[in-house]
Amino acid sequence: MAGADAFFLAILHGFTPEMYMLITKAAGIACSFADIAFILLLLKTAHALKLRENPAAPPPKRRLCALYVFAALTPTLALPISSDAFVIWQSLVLGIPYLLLAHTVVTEFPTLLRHMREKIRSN
Amino acid sequence: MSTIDIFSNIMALFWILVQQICLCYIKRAYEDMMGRALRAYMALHGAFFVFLLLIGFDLLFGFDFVYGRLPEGALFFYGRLKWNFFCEVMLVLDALLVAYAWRMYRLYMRDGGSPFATSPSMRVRVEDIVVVVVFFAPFLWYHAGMTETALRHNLNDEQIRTLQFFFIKVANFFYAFFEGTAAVLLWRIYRLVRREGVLSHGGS
Repeated sequence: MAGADAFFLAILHGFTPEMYMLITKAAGIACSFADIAFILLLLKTAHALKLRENPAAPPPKRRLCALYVFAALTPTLALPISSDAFVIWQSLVLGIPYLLLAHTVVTEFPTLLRHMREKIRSN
Repeated sequence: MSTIDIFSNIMALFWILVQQICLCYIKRAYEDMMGRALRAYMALHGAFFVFLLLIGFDLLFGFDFVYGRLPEGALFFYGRLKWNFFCEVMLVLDALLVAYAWRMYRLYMRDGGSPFATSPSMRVRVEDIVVVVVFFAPFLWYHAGMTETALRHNLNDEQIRTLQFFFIKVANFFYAFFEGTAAVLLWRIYRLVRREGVLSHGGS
């Protein structure tokens, strides 16, 4: 009990609003880059597989372009803005790639699944 | 409840929904590879999201069945607790996503498949439940301990908020770690797919 009290009271002493914003921004940027990298790789993997079935398959240019734009916008999360403005900006910078992720998963997963089935069968 | 709080909660529900879609797809793919059906799992996911929606609507509109029974001072605490709960749900979904991405990766690399492939009749895997328990136990411990400390030391709203924010910031590091891990796994699969493509097309 005393240990838990000491732990929570230590947080109150050491966890300042400046530290809060610093961690929020660092984690926001890291998460955003990781998410964008994930979606980008998912798109590229699905396209690489489609190329095997149809060598003339066009790359998903619009989605790739949107991802590059949001990757370029990600460092702006470090700008000195208020906590509320940060929430809105982060929702935009992370939210639209998330929509792309949902769309990509729903549309591209059958290609990935088909390929994995074939690969496992061939092994 | 402020506009920004409502906005944050809508965004949290949106993120959870996308994570659930991803998890359902990857789980479906994995179980498909292992030759299992998983209708019950999908139904469980649907039911869980409805539950979260109810919490979300409760947050947005302050349903009387919760808010009407709370003392005034507890309202603030209750709202923040639900926000932390959403964050914890996102963390658990991320952890499950990475766990399935890892299994798919191993299956793809043909190094023995999943070590957890056990009974064909299992719908919800034991290790999924372990992930949920492992991540929710610290959540419960932290919030129970925080509540006791707040009552014992008569902490004010601002101090309680600081403690609740601290929990979210720790969770943020885990998000970054899980999402980074998922990206690395996919990068390895992508490299392999490209290499296979080059080989099968004779380097063209």
